[in-house]
Amino acid sequence: MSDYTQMWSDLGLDLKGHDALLSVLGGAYQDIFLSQKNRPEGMKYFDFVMSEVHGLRIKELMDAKAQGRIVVGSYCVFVPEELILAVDGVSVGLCAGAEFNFEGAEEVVPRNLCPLIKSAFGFKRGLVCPYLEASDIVVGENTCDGKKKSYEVLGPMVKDLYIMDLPQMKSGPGRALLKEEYAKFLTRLEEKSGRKVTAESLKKGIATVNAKRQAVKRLAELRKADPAPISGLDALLVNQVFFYDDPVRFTASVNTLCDELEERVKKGEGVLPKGTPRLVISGCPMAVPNWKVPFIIETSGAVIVGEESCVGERGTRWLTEAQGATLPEMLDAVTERYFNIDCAVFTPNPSRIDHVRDMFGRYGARGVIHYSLQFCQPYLVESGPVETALEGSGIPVLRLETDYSQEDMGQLKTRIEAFVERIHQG
Amino acid sequence: MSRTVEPLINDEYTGGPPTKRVLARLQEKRKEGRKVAGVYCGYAPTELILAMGISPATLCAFSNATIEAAETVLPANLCPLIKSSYGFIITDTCPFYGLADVVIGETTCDGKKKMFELITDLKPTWIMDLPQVPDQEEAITNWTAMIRKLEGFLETTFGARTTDDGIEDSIRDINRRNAMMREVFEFAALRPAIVGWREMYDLTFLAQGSSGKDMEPVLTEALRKLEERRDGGYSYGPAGAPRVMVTGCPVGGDAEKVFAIIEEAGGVIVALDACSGFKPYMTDTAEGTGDPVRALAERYLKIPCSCMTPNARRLTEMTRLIEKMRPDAVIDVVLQACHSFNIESHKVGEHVEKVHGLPFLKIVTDFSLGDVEQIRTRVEALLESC
Repeated sequence: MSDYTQMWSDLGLDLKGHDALLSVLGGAYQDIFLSQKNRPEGMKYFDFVMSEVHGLRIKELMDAKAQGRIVVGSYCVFVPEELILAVDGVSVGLCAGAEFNFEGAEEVVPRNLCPLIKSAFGFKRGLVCPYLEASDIVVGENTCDGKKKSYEVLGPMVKDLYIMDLPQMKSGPGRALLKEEYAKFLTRLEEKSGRKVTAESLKKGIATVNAKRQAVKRLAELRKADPAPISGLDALLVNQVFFYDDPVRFTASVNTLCDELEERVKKGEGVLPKGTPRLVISGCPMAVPNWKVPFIIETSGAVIVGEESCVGERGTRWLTEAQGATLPEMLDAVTERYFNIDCAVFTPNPSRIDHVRDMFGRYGARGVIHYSLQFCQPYLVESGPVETALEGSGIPVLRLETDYSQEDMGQLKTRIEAFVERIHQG
Repeated sequence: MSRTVEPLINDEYTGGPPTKRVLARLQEKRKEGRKVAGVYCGYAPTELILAMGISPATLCAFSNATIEAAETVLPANLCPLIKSSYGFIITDTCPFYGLADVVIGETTCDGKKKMFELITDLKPTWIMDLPQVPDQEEAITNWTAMIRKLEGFLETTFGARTTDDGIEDSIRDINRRNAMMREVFEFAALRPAIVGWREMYDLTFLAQGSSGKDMEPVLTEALRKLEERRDGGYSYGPAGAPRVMVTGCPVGGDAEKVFAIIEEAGGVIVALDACSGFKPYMTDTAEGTGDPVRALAERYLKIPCSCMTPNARRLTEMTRLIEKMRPDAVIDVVLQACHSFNIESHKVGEHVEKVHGLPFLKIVTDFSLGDVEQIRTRVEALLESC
């Protein structure tokens, strides 16, 4: 890895804290990812991306900025990348996946808050997220109470925070509100970037993001095979890198990986033996480097074959339908696409259960692990009805609630092992 | 109290929980054949409901007793108010819910919004999607549409009808009620205090779902007694007692422990800055606009609940209240796991301390009695600093 010290220093990072973070990350990556057996060759690209996630990729962002492009940071799949690309901006997901500097976070937000939000503040106040520091504009969205109110606290800490309101019900007025919010966001992006969105540029943006989604959908399809051609951890990693990498290069790399996996499937090769118990994981998003639960699952004799999550199929299931040639028509299509997302912040949210059920069947799973982050009320409250509905259709469910700490590793392992045994026998 | 005075509301329910009085009044309405709509929140448009000849009933939400049952379904890490509400329903112990023909909910916070999903199949339920950025034009348009949709739901369910004129009349009636309530609060601003939290709470609780017409005799009498107390030199609480403003989450039932502790620590509560207190009465709806539903939408979106963002209005309204009530300290009561009030508390604390130079205390609590002594120690320390 090149020496990026000067770049990090220019970004205002706390170099000591940042070094400490990178060393922990590097160690975890080694233990969790590189120690896996039978990894596809195509994962090497993602290993490289991860090794350079705070290095080369940040340099690319700085180069893009030097060329007059804006970097747009966000925390949620409701922020439409199509629109960002339409002003030739760079869309990046912001750091929120590690327990870093929670003491610093807890000085400004409550202790009893979801670790993802606290993590965002830990990174900000510890000055260790180069993506956040490189962002020209940070986009917040009124999804859950925790995020909505935390953005008020984050506002004064970042250069430019833009808030989008979100409906909470999928009604006609809700759709109209979302469209209006996206139209306003587009205007804000135009102001910020100094570029006009044209039908042509939006069309191109839509095509680029659709291609990216299609590539991860292709990856998802390949996971139907038994034996699974790729581990759940590696597939999750691809879904995580989705938020950081250059979209065109990412798409090509995922397709290369898929070519290899196709070969594997043809030959009946996999990462784990045929008949290994297969699980779908459903619930809260897992941001880099939140690999705790998948790691425990895949070292407990099971393989994850699908993620019903915003970092997974909930985030990528829908394409933006390329209908209409005018800007307003395309904005309609973008709104339609995002309005489908069945995040638990919506009430009611029945399609989510249908999707979990569908994924369970499609990927030949034998159980579902419902994953909630602590204090995430939308998913926690929804977990009860989801479990009842799935168990009612004969689908075994294990409900987990956890945070980013390592303290409950042993307890989680015991419960997951017992669950794997249950589905193995069943 | 320096001497006994006649209570502001003097009836057979005086001294008991305010729910009994409201229940008795509601039962009378029921006997007259009125339909009842159960509500949970200050965003339910009382004017519209009353204009349609329906009585709003605030549903039970403040008892620790029903939480255990709720936790069989809901996560333990949830606000006690939501758990209690749900527990009341599944144990069928809320008489107001029993009387309610329908339930009206709003997407205020994540906890309530998702809890409502679990009760929709029990009674006809209507959920209103509440915008979260109240100052933008789309919010007013959307909330206007939501109130109209509620009207449609009530029409379909009950065959109840109203007209814009009917809503306009109801707006005037509730404005009158609110104005009288604010007159009561003027007396609460007096120094020394002549009224305690219990009597204010009795009035704010009773007025919640009541029309101006129903409240007028009660409030006229209360105002007369307050004048007498003032003119007679009556004072409530110990001489020189520190004046406390309580802000934050709704407080009632088992959460009243906080009020009791403040008084036991020698303080006098002069302002209840919550939806269970003064908040519903602080803003009027514009009259004679020609579009009464839009006027209602504008008025309701002015409620400075923490579910709004950035909710700057909470701080400006708080400043107005502080200047009027002249408290010596502000206590922010946050119910456990209520993310929005909990996060907002940081800003509220800074505002109180930096802008008003007043001591500030944030209390995070639930409906249990486990933390009473801990709260007492902290409140005593706060009042000593006044």
